Amino acid sequence: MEPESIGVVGNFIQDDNDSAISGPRKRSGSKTSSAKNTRNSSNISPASMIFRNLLIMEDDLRRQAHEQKVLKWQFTLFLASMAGVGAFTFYELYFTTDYIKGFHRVILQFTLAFISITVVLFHISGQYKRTIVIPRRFFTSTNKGIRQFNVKLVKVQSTWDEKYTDSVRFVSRTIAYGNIYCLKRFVWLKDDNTIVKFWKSVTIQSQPRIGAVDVKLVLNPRAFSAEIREGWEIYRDEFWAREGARRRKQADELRPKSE
Amino acid sequence: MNALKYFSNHLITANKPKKTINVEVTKVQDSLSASNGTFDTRASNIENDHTVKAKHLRSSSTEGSNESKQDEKYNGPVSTKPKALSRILKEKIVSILWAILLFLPYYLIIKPLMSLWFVFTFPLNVIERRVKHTDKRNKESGDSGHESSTDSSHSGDFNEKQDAENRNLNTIPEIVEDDLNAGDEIILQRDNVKGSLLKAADDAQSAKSKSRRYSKSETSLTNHSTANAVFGTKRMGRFLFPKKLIPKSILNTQKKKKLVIDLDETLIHSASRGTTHSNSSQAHLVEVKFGISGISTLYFIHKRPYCDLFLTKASKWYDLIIFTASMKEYADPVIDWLEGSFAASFSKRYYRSDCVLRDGVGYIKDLSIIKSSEENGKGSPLSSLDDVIIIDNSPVSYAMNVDNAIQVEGWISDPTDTDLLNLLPFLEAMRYSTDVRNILALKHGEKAFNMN
Repeated sequence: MEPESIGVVGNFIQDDNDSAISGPRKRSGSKTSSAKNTRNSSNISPASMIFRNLLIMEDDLRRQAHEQKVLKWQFTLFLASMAGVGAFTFYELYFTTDYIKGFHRVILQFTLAFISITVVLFHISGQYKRTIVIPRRFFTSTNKGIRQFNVKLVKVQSTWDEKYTDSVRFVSRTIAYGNIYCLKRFVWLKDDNTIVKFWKSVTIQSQPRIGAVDVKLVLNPRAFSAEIREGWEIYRDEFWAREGARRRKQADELRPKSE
Repeated sequence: MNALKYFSNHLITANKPKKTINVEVTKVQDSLSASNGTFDTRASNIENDHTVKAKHLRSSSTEGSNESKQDEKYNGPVSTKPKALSRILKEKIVSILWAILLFLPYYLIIKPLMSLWFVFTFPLNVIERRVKHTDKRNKESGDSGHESSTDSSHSGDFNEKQDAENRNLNTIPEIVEDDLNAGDEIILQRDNVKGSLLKAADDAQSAKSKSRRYSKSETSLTNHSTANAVFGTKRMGRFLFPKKLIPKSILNTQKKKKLVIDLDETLIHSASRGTTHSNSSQAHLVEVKFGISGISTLYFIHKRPYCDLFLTKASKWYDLIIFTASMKEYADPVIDWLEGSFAASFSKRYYRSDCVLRDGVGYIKDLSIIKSSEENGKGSPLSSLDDVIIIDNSPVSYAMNVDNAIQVEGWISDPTDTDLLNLLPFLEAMRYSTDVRNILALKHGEKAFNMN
C-alpha cells in the first residue's frame, strides 16, 4: 500500500508545476471525454442519467422515510404504554384511599421501579434520540443535507380515498401474508394448494401503490428552469407507470395459475 | 362474548325445541281435528239430505257406505300418520339442530364479516367500476380516431420520427387494451404541473394520446434500446428509462463505493491549546513528534457531534478513506483514535504528501490517486471516478474533482452542529447510484444538464 502511494506521490511531485497550471483544463477535458464516451457507447443523454440517479436516490429516501416513520411510531407506542402502566401503578400505590398491602403492593412497587429504570436507561443509552428525536426531524435534517444539490424532499399529501385504499390494501395484504405463513407452517400446505394460491393472488392484488405516493424529490426552482423540473416530474411518472405495467404483467402471469 | 354465547345457547336449547315441538304437535292435532270436523259436518249434511230427500233404505245403505267410507278415511290416516309424523318431526328436529349449530357462527361470524367486507371494499368496487367505465369509453372513442391520434401525438411532439418507431407503433393496439384493462388510471400518479412538454399531444386528445404513450412504454419496456421520441426535449435529449430501478450489477456487487473524508474541521477539530473549547475535559490528547525538528507538540482533539454515528453508519455503506491535508505524523495517531470508536476501519489513509500543492491556492486532493493506486495503473484512472465521493470543508481541497464533492461546513466548536447527521440520509440514498457525479453535479444547478 505504502510503496504504491509513494510512487504515485513521486509522479505527482514530478509534474507538480505542470498540473498546477493545467489543473482546471485537465478536469474539464476529463469530464467531457467521459461524458462523450458514455454518449457514444450507450447513447444516453445526461438528463436521463441524472434523472435515473435521482430516481434511485428518491426511492431510497422514500424507504428511509418510511423506516423512520415506523421506528418513531413503534417507540412512541412503547413509551406511551410504559407511561400508562407507570402512571397506573403510581396512582394505585400513592393516591388511592384504600391501602394496598402484601404481595400486591410488592408487585406494584417492582413494576414502578422497573419502568422508571427502563425509561432512564432508554434515555441515557441514546435510544430516545435514535428512535424518537432523529426520526421526527428526518425531513428537515435530510433537506439540510441535500440543499447544496438544489433538491428538496417533500411529503406528498394523499387524498382521503387514496389513504383509504392504501389502508384496505395494507390490511388485506398483511392478512394474506399471515394466512400464507400459517397455512404453510402449521397446516403443511404446499405452494400449489388452492387456498395458498388464492391468498397469493390476494397479495398480488393488494400490492402497495408505487411511485411518488408519499415522498418525492423536487428540484429547486431557483437553480433549475421550469422545463427541467417538469422533465423530472414526467420522467418519474413515466418510469413508475412502466414499472407498474411491468408488475401488472408479472401479476398477470401469476394469476391464471391461481384461478 | 362468552356470556352472550352461553346466554343465547341456553335460550335456544331450553325454549326453542320445546316450543317448536309443541307447535308441531298442536298443528298435527289441529289438522286431525279439522279433518274430523269436516267429516262430521259432511256426515251430518248427508244425513240431513237423506232425511229430507231420500228413502230410508237408500239412506241407511248410503249412510252405511258413508260410515264405512268415513271409517276407512279415518282409519287410513291414523295408521300412516304416526310414521309420517315421526319422520317429519325427525327432519324438523335435525334441521332445527342444524340451525342451532349454525346459528351462532352464521350470525356472529359470517354475516358480520360479509357486511364488513362489503363496507370495506365498497369504495374499491366503486373505483373499479368507474375505471372500467372510463376505460370502455376511452376505448370506444380511441378506436374511432385510432390512426389519426397516433400520427398527431407522434409528430406533434418532436421531429425525431423514425421508421423503427413507426414499426413499433403498428404493434400497439393489443397491448394498449391489455394494459388499460388492468387499470392504469389508478397506478399512474398524475401530476398537475406537467403538460407543457407534451402540449402538442395533450391538448387535443389527451386520453387517446395517453393511451398511446402507455403502449409505447410497453413496447420499449421489452426493448430497452429502442429510442423513445415522445419523452424529452431538444435540450435534455431523449429520455431513456431503465428496465430496473437499480441495476443488478450494483445491487449484487460486494464492492462498496468509496467515501473520502477529510479530517480537520470535518470530522474533528484540534487545537494546540485546550482553551478554544469550553469543555476541554472531553478533549482527547495527542502528542505529536515531528521527525525533522524533533519538537513534540500536544494537541487537544475534539470530535464533531455525531462523528461516531456517522462513521459507524457510513462504514456499512462505503469504504471509508481518510484524505487529509495534514502531516502523516499528526494524522496517524488521530486516525487511530478515531478507528477505536467504531467497529470498522478506514481502508486507506492519504496525507499531505499525497496532495497536489498549487502555488497560491493550497493543497489540492486529487482523487485520481485513489483509483490509480487501486487499479495499479491499468486502465484510465479518470474514467472510473463514478463511485468516489469526497466530503470536505474547503472547496480548495476538491478543486480538481468538484463533481465528486460534498461540501460541509467547517466545524470548530459548535456543540449543536448536525451537519454529519444531516448527511447520513443522503449518503445512504447514494449508495446504489450508478454514477455519483450525476447527483453531486447538481450543485451547479442547470449546468449539470449541459455537461456535454
